[in-house]
Amino acid sequence: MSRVALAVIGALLLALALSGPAPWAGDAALVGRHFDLHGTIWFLSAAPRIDGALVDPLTAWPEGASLRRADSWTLLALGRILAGLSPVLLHNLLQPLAVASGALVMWALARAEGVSARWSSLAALTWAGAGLTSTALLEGHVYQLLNLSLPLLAWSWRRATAPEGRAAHGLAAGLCFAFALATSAYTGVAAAILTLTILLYAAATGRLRLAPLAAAAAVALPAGLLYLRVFADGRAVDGLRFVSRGFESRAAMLQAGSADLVTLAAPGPALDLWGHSQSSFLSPTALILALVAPFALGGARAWGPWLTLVVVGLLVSMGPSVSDGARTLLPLPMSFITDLPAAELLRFPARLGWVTLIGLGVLAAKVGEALEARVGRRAWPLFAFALIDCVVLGGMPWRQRSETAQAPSAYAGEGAIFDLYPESPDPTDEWNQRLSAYACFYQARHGRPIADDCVAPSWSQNPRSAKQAALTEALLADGDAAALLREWRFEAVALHPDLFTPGDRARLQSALLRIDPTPSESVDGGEHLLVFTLPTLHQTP
Amino acid sequence: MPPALWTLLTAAAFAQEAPATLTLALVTPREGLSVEARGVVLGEARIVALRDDGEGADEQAKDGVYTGSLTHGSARVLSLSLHARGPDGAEETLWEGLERVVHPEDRWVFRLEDGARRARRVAATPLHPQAPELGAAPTAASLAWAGLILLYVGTFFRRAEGPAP
Repeated sequence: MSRVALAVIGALLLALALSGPAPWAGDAALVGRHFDLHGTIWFLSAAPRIDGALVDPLTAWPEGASLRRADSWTLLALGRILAGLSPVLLHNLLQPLAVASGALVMWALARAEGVSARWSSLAALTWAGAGLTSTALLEGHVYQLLNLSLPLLAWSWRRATAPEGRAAHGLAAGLCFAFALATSAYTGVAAAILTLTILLYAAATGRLRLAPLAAAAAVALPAGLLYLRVFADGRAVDGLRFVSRGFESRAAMLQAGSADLVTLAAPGPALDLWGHSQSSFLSPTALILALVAPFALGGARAWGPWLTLVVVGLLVSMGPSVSDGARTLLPLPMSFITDLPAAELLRFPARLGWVTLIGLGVLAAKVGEALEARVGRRAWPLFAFALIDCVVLGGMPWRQRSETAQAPSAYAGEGAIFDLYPESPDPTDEWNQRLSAYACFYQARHGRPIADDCVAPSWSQNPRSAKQAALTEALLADGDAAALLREWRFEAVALHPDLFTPGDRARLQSALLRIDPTPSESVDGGEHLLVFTLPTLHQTP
Repeated sequence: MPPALWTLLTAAAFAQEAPATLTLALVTPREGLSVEARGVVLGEARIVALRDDGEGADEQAKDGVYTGSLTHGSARVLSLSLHARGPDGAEETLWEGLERVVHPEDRWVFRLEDGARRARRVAATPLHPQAPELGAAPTAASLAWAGLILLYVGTFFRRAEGPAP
């Protein structure tokens, strides 16, 4: 069997092991821990119906939701191409496939750097077992794992800045940058940082070549400008209003989304419960190998560019300052941009850590091979150490969880339906966003128009927020709730009674019974649901 | 404790509507409490007694860990409150709110410190009211592991640079 075939099988086995129940869950279960999972499933379900103006007509009803600020055009394309598959099944299949392909491309990058097939697997392990990979799987950001373009970008630039570098290598780098941008905004920013780092290193060592650079710019600049244009049209640059999200300053908001000295180490159980599983865990084995690279590899040409990527990646992913999670210890370059409102768009600097992983993976593979040349088989336990890093310290697949992928059967019917949930006063919007994500996931199952904008970055920007407040007030203060619903072109209200306090539940239910004395009720699909239908709207032409 | 691989896989396969059992635990140094959890689960009002008598879901009597179990039909979110009645008969509400449910989730643990009026949810299971929470243990384990690897890799360099045998 060829080495490539072995690598493919190895990457698939590793991905199947790390993604836990996803490959076996089929259409029955959502696999992941956090509520962005529900949004991603909705996005896959909505992709086939998005029109040319990038508007989804069935959410943010009746206006429709603009998807111009969608995070991943790659996921949009996948959702359209694979429209025949259930979005839940597609998501469950994407999890292992994305991990496997990322690991495989890292293996290929190490091979391209001259490392043997055996030791290149350390690069694959470093990538697949990293905290960023587990975060993407647990938080429901599987599209962030479709970032094969990042290792390929590193490969393209390495070739483009080599003495034999040609315009074709630059062209490949430009294409990889465009694909990275399409994968997610953070992947695009990581690609820009990766590009700048490699080019500056090449310039410093006198290896910068004009033809590949011009070819890359010819592709990357138009792609970048188009992306910014669509992004700006989607009003994504309006910012996220850090104050309304419970942060005292923009710097504090950026710091909360950054890697710190604690999240770089093994993830603890509290991270999965309260921290959205956001881990920046790096394999200790790979880190140690990177640390000894100057001693093991000799000349700086062998380790310089990769160690530079490790350091630059760490500096940007740690955000405005080095922190231990509670205190800031040392300011970093990002602290200079925290006064800019647009810096809020970079809310999770930790996601730029892919730059570190590329450098770390290649460096670990190179050093592993060099150590084997030095001490023979005594270097082999390093593979076992890297596996222990993945499974024991990284905690996958043990941290993976699942929940039912059904929606309450009371949603069955036609016409726009308004989800009435309790509103949480918590300024972090955790519960409001979670309940909105549930409404969006249910929409993927029942297919009726809903009030939620499923790509709204905050609860206050979700049109259901203001409408729900007005509807609740009308219901509790004997207002004409039915007239409001008619004005908004809704034909039913879905009350989620168990989530309200007993008093609110009784009052809302009593008011809604005046609209529809015989609501549909279900206790399946993970929730108790009451659907009250407005009978008069059926007669509206 | 992480779930066993089989539990993990089957939880996903049967997550559709299978009943799941959730263990509720309150860890407290306060003695002589009568503790119960009240909730609405898929439209049904439920009351679960949390006991510290070594019976049912409780593993050990009088260890300060009050335990009860709740079986539910694959609910996505539970609305729950914890109540305690002390020796004086006065009832206190220790915790109330919404909690999301994921499978397989074995235990929800709350901790009530001596003198505190409210319990708080804790991520890892303290084995005893006096036992410290896990806190920075994963970080320490990671650092210790990195140290061991560094020592191992360090031996490669010492051997290589030493005199030839």
